Amino acid sequence: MFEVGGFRAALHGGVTRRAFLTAGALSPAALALDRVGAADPSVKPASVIVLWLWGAPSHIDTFDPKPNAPSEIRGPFGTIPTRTPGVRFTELFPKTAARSDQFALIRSMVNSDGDHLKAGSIGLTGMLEGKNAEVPNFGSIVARHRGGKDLPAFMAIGRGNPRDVVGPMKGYGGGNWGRNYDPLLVGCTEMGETDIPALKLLDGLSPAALDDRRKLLGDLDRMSRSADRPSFDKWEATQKRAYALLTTPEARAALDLSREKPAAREAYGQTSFGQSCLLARRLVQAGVPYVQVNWSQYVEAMTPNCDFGWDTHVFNFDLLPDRHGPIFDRVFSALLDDLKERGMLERTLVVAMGEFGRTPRINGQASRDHWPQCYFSMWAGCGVRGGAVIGDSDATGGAPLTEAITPGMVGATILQLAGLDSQARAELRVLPGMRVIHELF
Amino acid sequence: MNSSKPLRLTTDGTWKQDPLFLDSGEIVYTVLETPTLMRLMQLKPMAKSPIKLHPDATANEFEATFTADRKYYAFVQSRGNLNMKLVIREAATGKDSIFDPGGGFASIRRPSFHPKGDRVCFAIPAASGQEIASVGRDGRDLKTLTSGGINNWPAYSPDGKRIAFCSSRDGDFDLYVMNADGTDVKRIIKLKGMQTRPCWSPDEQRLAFTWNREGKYDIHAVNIDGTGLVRLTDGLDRADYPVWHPDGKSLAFVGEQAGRFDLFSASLAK
Repeated sequence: MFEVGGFRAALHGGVTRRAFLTAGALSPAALALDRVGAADPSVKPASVIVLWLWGAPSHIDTFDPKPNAPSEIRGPFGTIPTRTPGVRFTELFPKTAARSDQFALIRSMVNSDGDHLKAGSIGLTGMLEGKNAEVPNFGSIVARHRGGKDLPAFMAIGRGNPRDVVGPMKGYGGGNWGRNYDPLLVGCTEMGETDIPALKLLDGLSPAALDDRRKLLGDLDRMSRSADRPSFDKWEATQKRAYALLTTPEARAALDLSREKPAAREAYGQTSFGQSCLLARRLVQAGVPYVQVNWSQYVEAMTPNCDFGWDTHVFNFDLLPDRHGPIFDRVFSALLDDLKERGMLERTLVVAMGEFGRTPRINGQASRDHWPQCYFSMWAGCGVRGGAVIGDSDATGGAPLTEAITPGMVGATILQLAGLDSQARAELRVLPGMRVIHELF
Repeated sequence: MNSSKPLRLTTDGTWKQDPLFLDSGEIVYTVLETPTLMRLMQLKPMAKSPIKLHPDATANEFEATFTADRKYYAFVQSRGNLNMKLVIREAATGKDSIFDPGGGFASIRRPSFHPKGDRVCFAIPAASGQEIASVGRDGRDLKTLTSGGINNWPAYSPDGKRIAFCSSRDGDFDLYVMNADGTDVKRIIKLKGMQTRPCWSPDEQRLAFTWNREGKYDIHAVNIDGTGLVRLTDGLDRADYPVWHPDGKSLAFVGEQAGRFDLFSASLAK
C-alpha cells in the first residue's frame, strides 16, 4: 500500500603520531582541510553521512580486538588480517577488513558518560551540555550554516529519533536552537520503502495530490486555516519542510529507492540498515549536506518492541555473529564501494561510531557492559587517509595509550569538512576549544 | 559426501534463522517479521508460503526445538528488557512450563529438546562464562553440564546420549561432543576460524556445522571422530544454521544471497 509521503520500492599500524601530524600538515588533503570553510571557493564543503551505531558496539569484539589478552577479556572470536599491515579485526568483519585501506580507524575514543542517553547526546553534539539539549547536534549546526534547497539540510534515517526504554535522547536535533534545526526524519524498511513520519497527520491527502503541486499547496493552506491553530503551529516547522520536500519532484525522487538498480539494492542487503544507507547515499547525491543513519531507534539488543540495537548486556557473543556483525560488515563495505564507484567519496565524509565501547572484562552474563573509557570510530572519504589507525588502546582495551579523542573533536572535524572553520564555529558558539583531528589526514 | 546445487525454499528474503526439521519434513524457523518482532514460522513440504506457528504471539519468539514425537516443544521468548525465558509447551494442551533464568539482564538461548522429551538443554550465562545446562520438562532441576569458556549451540544426538556443542575453552569457537550428563568432553576437530551450530546426522555418524573460514560462512560436515571434513555449501554469500533432514538425504540452511535471506535445501550424495 502506498502511504502518503511513502515510497514503495520493488524490491596500527607502524606510524607514529608525529609522523601523522607531519604528513597531515603537508598533505594536499590537510591543506584543503584548512581551506574548507574559510571562504575559499575552490574547496567545496563536504557532505556527511554519520552511521550511528546506537547501543554501543564492543570495541574488542569488532575493530580493536585483543587476541593476546586473557580469555575473560579476549572473548571467543578469532581475528583476521586486514589490508593494513599489522592491523587485525575480529573474524566477524571480513568485508570491512578487505577495505581497511579505504578508511581510518580511531581506537582511542573516550566519552565522558556511561549512560546511553547522556553519552549519545554528548556523542552527537560534542558537548556535555548536549545531554540536556542545550547545544545542537552536529547535523543541526551544518544545517544552520549551509541551509537546504529542495531537500532539508539535516536528515535522519530511522524508525524514530534515538531513545531507550526509559526515554528519548536529547541530543538528536536542534537543542536550544529549536525544532527548526531538528533533522527531518525518514523511515526506511528492509524492503526499501520510505516514509516521512512528519506527514502522518495529513489525513485526507491522497497520493495523487503529490503529483499536483498546486492542489497539494491548496490542501495544505485549507488545513492550516481549518485546523486547530495552536496544534498547527506546533507541528508546522517540521511538516512545512516535509511538504516542501514532497512538492519537489527531484526531492521525491531521492527518496524513491525503486529507482536504484537491483544490484545496488542487493549490495546493501535486505535489512533496514542496509537500505537506509543506500537512501543516505541518494540523499547526499541529491544535495543533502548531512545525513545521520540510525542503526536502531532503541539501544536495547533484545527487548520487546525494540529494534535490536547494539546494547548487548546479554548474549553478546550470539547477537554479534548472528546479526549485528554480518549486517554492519555488508552495509559499511557496500557504502564505501558505492561512494567510491560514483566518485562521491572525495567529497563525502563517512563516520561510523557508537556512543561508547563495552567492558573489556566479560560480565556475569557472558557479555559486556558500558565502557565510555575507550571505544572506536571509523572515518572514510574527504581526504581521510585510508589504512590509518589513529591512537591505540592498552593491552585490555581499557583505556587509550595515546591522547584521548573526544566527541568534541569528532564534531570539530566533521564541521570543518562540512564548511565550518574555527571562525564559523566561534560565530555560532559551537564546540569552543575543540580541535580538528588532523591525524586523520 | 557432496551436495547438490541448493534449492531455494522461501523467496521473501527476510532475515531468518534457526530452521529445524520435523519428522514430517516440515520446517520450523524464525523470521524477523517486523523491525521489532521475531516470529516462529512453519513451512510445510510443497507449500507455497509458510504459516505462523503462534499467530497470536506478540513477543519475540525464536529458536524452537521439538521432541521426536512432537508432543512437546520449547522455544525462547523475550519477555522483558534484555530478559529471555525458556518456554516448554505441551503441544496438545498449550500448557506451558517456564524456566526463568532470573530478573534483570538474564537469558538462556539455543534450547535443544532431548528426543524423548525428558530434558531441555541450552546455553546459559554463568560466573565461569557461558555454560551448557539442562532442565526437566517441567522447567525445574537445573543441571550445569560444562565448566569454563563460552559454550553454545548444544544439540542432543538423535538417541539422546550425547550433546554436540561449540566452545571457546581452547581459544575461539571449536566443535565438541560430550555425553548427555556432561562427561567425556571431546573436541572433534581443530580448525582456524569460528565453528558454530552443530547438528547431528540422523545416523549419528556425522555433524554438520557452520565454519567461518577466512571470513566466509559455509556449511561443512565431519565424522564424529574428526575425519572426513567436507564443505557442503558454496556459491552463496553466506550459508548458516544447518539442519539435517530426518531422512539423512538433504540439509536445510539459511542462505544469504544478493543481500536476501532465505531457506535453502541441498541434497547430499555419498
